[in-house]
Amino acid sequence: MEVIKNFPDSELVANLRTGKRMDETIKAIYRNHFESLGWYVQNNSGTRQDAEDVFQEVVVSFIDLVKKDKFRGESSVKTFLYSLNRHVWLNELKRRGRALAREEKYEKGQERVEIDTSYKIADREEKEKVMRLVEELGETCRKILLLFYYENLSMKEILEQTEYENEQVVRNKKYKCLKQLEQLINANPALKETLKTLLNG
Amino acid sequence: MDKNFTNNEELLVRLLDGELGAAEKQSVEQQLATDKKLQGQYDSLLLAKESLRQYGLTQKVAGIHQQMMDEMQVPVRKINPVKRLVRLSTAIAAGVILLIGGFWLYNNSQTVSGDKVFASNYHTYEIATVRDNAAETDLEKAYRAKNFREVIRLSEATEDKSIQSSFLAGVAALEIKENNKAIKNLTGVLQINKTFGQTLYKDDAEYYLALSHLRAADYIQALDLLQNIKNEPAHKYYGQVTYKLISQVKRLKNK
Repeated sequence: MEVIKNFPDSELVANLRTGKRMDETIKAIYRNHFESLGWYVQNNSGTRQDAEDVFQEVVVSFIDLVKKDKFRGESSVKTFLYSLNRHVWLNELKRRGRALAREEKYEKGQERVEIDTSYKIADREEKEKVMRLVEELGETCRKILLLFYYENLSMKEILEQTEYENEQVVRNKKYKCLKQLEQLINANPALKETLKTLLNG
Repeated sequence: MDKNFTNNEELLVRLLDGELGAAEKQSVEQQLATDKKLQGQYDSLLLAKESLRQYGLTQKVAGIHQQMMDEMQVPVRKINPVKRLVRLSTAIAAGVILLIGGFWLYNNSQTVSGDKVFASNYHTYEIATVRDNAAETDLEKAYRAKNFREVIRLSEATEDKSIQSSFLAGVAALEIKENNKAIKNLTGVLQINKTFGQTLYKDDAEYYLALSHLRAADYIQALDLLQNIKNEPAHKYYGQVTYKLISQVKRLKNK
């Protein structure tokens, strides 16, 4: 199979928005941007592992913003990823309590890369809490809900992937699972705030 | 359980799932606009859906991430014991040959050494004079005062390095013979320029990076950079990279 090295920005964004050729598109982002973005982290007190973790988070946030129409192409994908990467890494450094006294700015005349302050990105710890919450659902519930709400499969398609008798049984199960998830969220006000941030971007 | 409450919940889930007809949808939305409690219930459902989207997306990227990290790293091949023995013997033989060859070369080519070539081509980088000294950064002031260790310290203390900061740290490191730091910073300058399609300090960084590699005895890299400069007549250091210099580095590489 041919390895796709790059997509024009417009095609890359369209693919992420619609979910078309998703795997290939994400791989192209890695092939084209990991090296330079990873260098930034490694040259600013980070390790290779930090660079990998930050990049993974950047890719997730970028896709999320694209899907919510928050990335409108005012800057190139490369510039936008760079600013996300910088934002995520500086936040991580601050979280680690290693922020140093002065943050030197780019020299005169150079384009200042700033993330638009209207984009709100939950930090890594908060996102991990969201992941753990969904894990609490148990495998069956998680599977049904993800197939429906993330993969956008119909009840009929979900029925084919599970061992339930008919669509109505799947529908009832999905309803109960969703209520269970809702209760877990309502029991955790801090997490609720994180999800609000993620939802409203 | 309150039957109306349950019915409302079911309606909200159907709204969330996009399963209501136009009239039903309009009716529920009107209720939401006036009933805060109902709106609160719907908001909770939206958050539940969001948590699933986040989870699904994170899992998706995590799967590809591992695959890509494996692809991007040089694979470590396992060598069987026989091959290892052959390799060891070859390495020892090569070592002996290199030792003899090295001794011969040392006796026959004392005129060229990396340090000598470096010294005859190196000059301290000078910052352009600015009209307003007050506008100078601490880093520039330290460099101008030849306080090279301070330049490196200031640059390293900066979390978000600029191209200028990396460049000055690079040439400062070269001044105090910290080759690895010089290479790291100057490579960074070229990397950022490449990322943004810019040319800030590009020519300077290429020349001083070539000299850093030269002093670090990495002649292949040094030669590559010098030849690139020589292939570009508009390059700031085109005139300084002489054929003699390239020839000397070639000899060092072939030593």
